Amino acid sequence: MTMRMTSLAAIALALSLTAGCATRRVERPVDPPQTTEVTPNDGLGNDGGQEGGPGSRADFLRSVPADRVFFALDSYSIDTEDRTTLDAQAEWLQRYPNVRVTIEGHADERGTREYNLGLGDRRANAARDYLQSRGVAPDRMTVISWGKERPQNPASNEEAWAQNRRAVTVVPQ
Amino acid sequence: MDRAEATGFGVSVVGHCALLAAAWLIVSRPTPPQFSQAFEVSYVDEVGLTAASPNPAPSAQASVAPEVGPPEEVAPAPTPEPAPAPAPTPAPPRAAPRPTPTPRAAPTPPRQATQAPPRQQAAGNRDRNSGSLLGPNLLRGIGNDRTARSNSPPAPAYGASERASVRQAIARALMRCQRQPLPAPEAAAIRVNYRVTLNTDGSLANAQFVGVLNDDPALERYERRMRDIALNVINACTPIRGLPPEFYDVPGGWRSFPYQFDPRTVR
Amino acid sequence: MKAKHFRTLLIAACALAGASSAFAQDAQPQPEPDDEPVRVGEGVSSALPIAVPYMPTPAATDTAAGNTQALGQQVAQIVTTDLANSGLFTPIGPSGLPSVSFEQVQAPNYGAFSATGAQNLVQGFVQANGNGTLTVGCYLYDVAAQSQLTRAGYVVQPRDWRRAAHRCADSIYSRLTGEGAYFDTRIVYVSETGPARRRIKRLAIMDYDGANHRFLTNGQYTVLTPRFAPDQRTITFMTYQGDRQPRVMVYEIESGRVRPLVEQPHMTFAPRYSPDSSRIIFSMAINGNTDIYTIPVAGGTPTRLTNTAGIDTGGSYSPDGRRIVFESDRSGTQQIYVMDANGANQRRISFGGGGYATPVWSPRGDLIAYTRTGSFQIGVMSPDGSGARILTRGVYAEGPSWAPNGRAVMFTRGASQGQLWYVDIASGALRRVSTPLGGSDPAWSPLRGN
Repeated sequence: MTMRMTSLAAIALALSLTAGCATRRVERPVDPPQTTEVTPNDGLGNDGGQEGGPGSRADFLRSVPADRVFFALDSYSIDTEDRTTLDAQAEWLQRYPNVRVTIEGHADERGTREYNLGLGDRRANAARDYLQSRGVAPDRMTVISWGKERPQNPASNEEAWAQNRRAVTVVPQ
Repeated sequence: MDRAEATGFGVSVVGHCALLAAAWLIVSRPTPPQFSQAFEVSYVDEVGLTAASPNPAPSAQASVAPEVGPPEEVAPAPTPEPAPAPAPTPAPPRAAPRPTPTPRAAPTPPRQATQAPPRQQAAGNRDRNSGSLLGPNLLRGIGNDRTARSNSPPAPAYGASERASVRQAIARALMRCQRQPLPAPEAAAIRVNYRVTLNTDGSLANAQFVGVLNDDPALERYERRMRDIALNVINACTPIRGLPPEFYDVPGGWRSFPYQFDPRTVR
Repeated sequence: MKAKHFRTLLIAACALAGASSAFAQDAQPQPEPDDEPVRVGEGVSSALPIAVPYMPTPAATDTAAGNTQALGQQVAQIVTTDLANSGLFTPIGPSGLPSVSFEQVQAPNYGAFSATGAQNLVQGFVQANGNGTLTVGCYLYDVAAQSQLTRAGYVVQPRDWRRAAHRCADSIYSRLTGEGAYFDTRIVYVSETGPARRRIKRLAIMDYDGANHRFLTNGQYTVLTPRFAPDQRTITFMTYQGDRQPRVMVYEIESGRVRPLVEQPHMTFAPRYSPDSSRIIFSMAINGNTDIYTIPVAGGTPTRLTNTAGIDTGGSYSPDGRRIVFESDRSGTQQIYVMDANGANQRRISFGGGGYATPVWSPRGDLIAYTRTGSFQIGVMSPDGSGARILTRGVYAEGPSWAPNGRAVMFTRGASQGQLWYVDIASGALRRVSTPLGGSDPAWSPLRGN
């Protein structure tokens, strides 16, 4: 009687140990970085700029009316309001001639993916061309298009879309 | 013309004749002409299900003379070739020159005789009053029953309207199964033809594929499936019951009929 | 020899020929009188009922893919699902059908299956071979005609057992529809997760039904628009790369190596392969202007094809490699254009109101799929621009990709956090492809070879 119970217990124990085994058929993928830390040229503009002295991102954001200009649907022309903003940016950049910037061009979600890459490129270049006409040396400015991949506002309404059609002048930290 | 031109001309003529002869040979290949069972054609005012002949008889007297006499001597035909059993033809050959008893060759070139010995032999035999079964003239309009004594032609009970009625009955039987799923909507433009043969009990004996009607090369990929579908209708709706047995084996009867699957018959 | 002798001979010969042809006509059989056929038929676009019972095994054997008895059931299930996915079949089973013994696989019990209402019947088997491989047999029958329509056998490694099931479904699908196959295929696409402002995008590859899924990149950098090479040796895609301009890369599937396609300091994007896998057509943006170029897959000097102030992008080759369809906003709105493969004869083919984008030439050459801008619907049109029709009513859709048989189109559905769906253009059936996360930018592989 006890012999049988002992062997049963032994079997039960052995079986319970196998419960931890699981076969994995699918290859384990490489996990992406889970941080939301801003890496350079990640399409997130001037996010995260809080501290800084003269010539820093924080200083830039304090000094200009906006780090970005906006566009009408499917358009890449610089309007009057845009000009005011860019004039101020140009002036700040003249003050700190060693600062290099990246100008990001973006589009809203209502365009197809590839076309929006071209449209973002147009918008970024339009802002860059204007800054250049205001005396900023072209070799200080890099242009990059983010298409519709980095919406400022993820909502699907006119207000959000208007915020997403933009060209952002990104100053390093 | 000079020697060279003459030679060339001669070669050309011989070549053309050879070509024409070859073409004629190909065209007159032994496809035996369709021989329907002979029947008398009577013109009547109306066509109906009743017999159209005034005195219909089940079968008429056989085309045999009361006595079969010995075949008369006939001078051999000028052609030396052994004659095969002459096949009865519905139309007598025209303009076949009668072989004369004299061995002198007819003015016709030997090639014609070589190529038409059966006709000539038949023509030769026909002219005698032999009591033979052979000869197209004798068989015209007469039945084959040796025991019959009537001299009237048999009853043509199956005319155009009878055939139409029978075909409609077949169509009604097949309509039950005619609704078939297409491999693609555009395949509805494809029509498929079969020759269907039924047994006496209405079951399917054979469905012979005849062809597909399709002009559009882009639809060719569906043709095989459309053949399946056309056959499905036949397979699903045979045996066909209730067809008149007397119209089974008559010419144009329901033993065999052409069938077309047209997806747009019902729209 | 005198001329007149020749003339006589010639005339005699011709007379002979004339007489011969008269004879010839008599010798021909008389043509049959006009015989009106029995004509019936009502073609409907409805699904074909087809029975797919569980597939037996001659001997239940454990293999690296599982027990052959279980595999027989799973193969039948995959065949059923594939046929149902196409929208052209109403499969019956596998459960609830009469069971099929191994001996019956090639000698079907037609009576039992005709009672189910099926017009066709699929039977098969799974068998373990002594050398570790599996054999999957696949037979298609016509129930009413009681005849076998097609049969096939596939010998596979255990890890490829699903491919055998898909190929069985392919042979049935092709035989009953006349179309080319498309179930034994893969999808490469962008797997999406995370917040919309900072979406994490990874390249991924899977069977067309979502099985055998694996990631190809780790999501550190945003990737877009992957495409399969026709020879299935490489995948091309566009990636962001931190400080660098985003650009087109070529990924070698066998070795896992990745290299840039174009050594130029400009953004390159929207890549596609030529039908012979020798070149890639792509877009390059220089100083705010985007044009279309081609380059050998191995690299080299780009050849420019368009040169306008508009955004020219989205090039796609015709299957014979002689023409290219692309989109351009040179007229003021996005429209579809066709040009010769060398860039000559650029002509617009879309003229409806609104815009047209992302044109893709069908592998059959008969249609061009596109995205209708504004309404975001997928449509198809003939290569001359005629016959435009929408395939995806009421569905937010973008970025079509053709199945190799030119009968189905996969696309991204949804404005954000997208899903992968496909539409069968014959039946209009819409099906979702399940993915572990969100998905976008699908690209359908060619039919997989042996």
